[in-house]
Amino acid sequence: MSVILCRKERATHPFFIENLGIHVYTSQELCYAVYQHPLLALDGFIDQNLIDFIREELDMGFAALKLERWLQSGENPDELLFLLLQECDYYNSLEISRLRQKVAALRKLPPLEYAKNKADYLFEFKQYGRAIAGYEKILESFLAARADDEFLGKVWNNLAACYARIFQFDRAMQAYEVAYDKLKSPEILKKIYHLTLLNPASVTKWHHQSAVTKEQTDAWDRDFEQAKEDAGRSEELQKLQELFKKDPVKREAGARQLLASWKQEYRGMA
Amino acid sequence: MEELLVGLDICDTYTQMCCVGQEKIHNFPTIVCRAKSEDRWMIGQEAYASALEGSGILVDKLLKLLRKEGTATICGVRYEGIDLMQRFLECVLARAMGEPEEIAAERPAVLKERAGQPVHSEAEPEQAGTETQAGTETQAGTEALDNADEEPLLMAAGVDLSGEAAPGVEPSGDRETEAEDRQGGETADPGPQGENAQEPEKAAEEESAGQPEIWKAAAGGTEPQKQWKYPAYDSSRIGQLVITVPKVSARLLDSLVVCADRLGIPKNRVHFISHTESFLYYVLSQKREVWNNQVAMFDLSEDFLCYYEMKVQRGMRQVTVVAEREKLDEGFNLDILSTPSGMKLADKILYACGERFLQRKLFSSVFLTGKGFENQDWAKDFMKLVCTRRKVYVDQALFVQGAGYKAADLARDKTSYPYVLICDGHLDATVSMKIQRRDQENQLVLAAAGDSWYEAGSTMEFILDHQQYLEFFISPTDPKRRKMVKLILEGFPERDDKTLRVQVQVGFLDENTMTVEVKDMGFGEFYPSTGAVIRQEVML
Repeated sequence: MSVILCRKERATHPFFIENLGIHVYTSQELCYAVYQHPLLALDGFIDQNLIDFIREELDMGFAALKLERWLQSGENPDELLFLLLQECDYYNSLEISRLRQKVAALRKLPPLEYAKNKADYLFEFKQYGRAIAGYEKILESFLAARADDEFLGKVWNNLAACYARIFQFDRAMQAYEVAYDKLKSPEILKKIYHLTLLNPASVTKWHHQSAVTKEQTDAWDRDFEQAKEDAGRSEELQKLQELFKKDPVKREAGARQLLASWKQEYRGMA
Repeated sequence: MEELLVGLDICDTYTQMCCVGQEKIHNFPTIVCRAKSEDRWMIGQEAYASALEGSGILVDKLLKLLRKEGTATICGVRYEGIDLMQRFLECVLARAMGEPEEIAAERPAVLKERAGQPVHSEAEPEQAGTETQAGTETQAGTEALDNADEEPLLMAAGVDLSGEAAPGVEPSGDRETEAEDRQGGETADPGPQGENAQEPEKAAEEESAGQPEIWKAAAGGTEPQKQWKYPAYDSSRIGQLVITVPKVSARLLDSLVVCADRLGIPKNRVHFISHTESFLYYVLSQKREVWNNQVAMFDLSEDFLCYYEMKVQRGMRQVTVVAEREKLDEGFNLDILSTPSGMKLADKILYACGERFLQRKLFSSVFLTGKGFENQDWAKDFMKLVCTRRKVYVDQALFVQGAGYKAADLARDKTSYPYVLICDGHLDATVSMKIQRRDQENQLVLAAAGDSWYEAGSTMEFILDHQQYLEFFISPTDPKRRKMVKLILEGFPERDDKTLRVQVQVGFLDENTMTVEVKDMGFGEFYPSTGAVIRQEVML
């Protein structure tokens, strides 16, 4: 239990962490992002842009200089994270050493496993475009040839989920087909079936349609209907309904704002 | 142009001003007068002259008006105490800007009799307090407090400035009740009696019968007379302004801050101190032998008698100077000094006070100030008592000089008073919090003993790690009274580790009451603020 005094440093131009899709305004927020999501903060997270932000917006010239020198030295770039945390004095030594252990454990993972973890993390933060790039890189890697079907099936499955989330149903269908080939899981068939409900045109591309029974489709239909009902009661939809109850001027302004935010969200995802 | 370092002593009856580097000490009655024909404001002798002529309306007791948030209606316009004080201060500060220029103007005949003396002439430079040794007769080193510069006009007009009921200027009546209280919501239209804002013309007409010829002339004379024009007020020339008032209160200081702000003086250039602090600065600016031991002071004014005492506590790390002020019940009206029996009684009263305070203590020096000590002939026994085994100084401009010393000190890079000052207007306790820094627990001082409580407030942001409360450590100069105050943050969100960011705003209502406001600031885009706020008053 303790109290930490914050420096007066609220940035006028926040730093955008692309991998998380958020802006940070203070050194505490920056450290928090690094500490909570080390996987996203490794591999080139601390670059010249971030160092400039630390120098100019956070007014931490000395810390920026240290980071810059380390970056130029070509030594282990992971150390940059710990250096940053030490300089900001937000996490104590014990916490920093815990992070050090976490990073070391991540670095010990096999390369494909590490890459999949990272892409999964991006998926979790709705960074579908970046996650797709990550999964595709795994599949294109020469190491993929030596990977087992189970691992590759999971990668294809996650890749398909990414495509589905950004409404690229055809690509999603193809990826699920490959995933089913590798894993033979009925769960994947269910996802494919739901895709055909969302996009009936893709039914023709479903090669494993014969593997599905009538009982299965009935059960999946019920699940689909339930999901639609739940979606109908969602908070977001209620907000939308509220918006359309307002007078035309407010409605238009609200709709414009909402559309802009959706666009921004989609661009962030894709 | 050189910036001015100004000390200003504002009391209900008089105001004194000094500028560092200038010998002259300006004396004014604390009054302001508005010309009837235009929005022009006057102070000092010009104000009285205008009021006597009937061309202006005069308001007095401006400090009380400000303190009580009263109003005065002049020429149909309702002015708040702040408005009037602002105009008064503007006129006063303009006098510090440079020497006056002589101009010709229409003035009452009575003024002509004083040809050769500028109408707006300021008081002659004050002399330093006259040192008196035991058995030596003391002589006041200053002019009359009220208004040395007004003396030519007012004496000629037959008006006793020191009296409360100058005919035509301030009709008799209890003026303490004249300032209307804003809470009452009434408008103070000038009435025939008992208002702060008066129309002297009417009053003069009513009362001119039975007055000497000279007074009538003052009320109605129109012969030309030389006038003096002062340079215009220029806020950029104020380097530091230190205002001293008898007793500081948040409401009074807030109002004075507003006045200073309206006058375009930046906040960091205006400071407020109590008379007790002025006394400290004044004494500490004297030779060390003057304050080696304790120092006492008696302030005998028209309305009150105050006793001040100062002592120096030399510690291992720092020197603490403590001063206290006590308003004595024995205060008397100075009018009693006009009769031999009254003088005797006054001497007896003061002697009793002197015996009570000065016996059994070692004093290096005793200071006497206030209108009552302009001369000390009436206080033979008292003077004999105070002059025994100690040095006695009389100075009528002590408080303003104290303010001037502080203004000069503020302009320096390093203070010449490296002491912890504990007195009226200053905290006598240090308020701190424990914080974590570089793996170590440190004490963060939010306000230190000796800080001016009015200026001491601070705003900081903290991250709370695994705790939903704040602890304040209060350490008064008396170690027995040390305590810890825990502020539980009820209604604040429970978040992940180290993401509860709060803004803590600490301020003081007086030297004994601290106000704390804690606000949830959110944690960037990770956690938006919930808007939770807690406010609490903490007794020190």
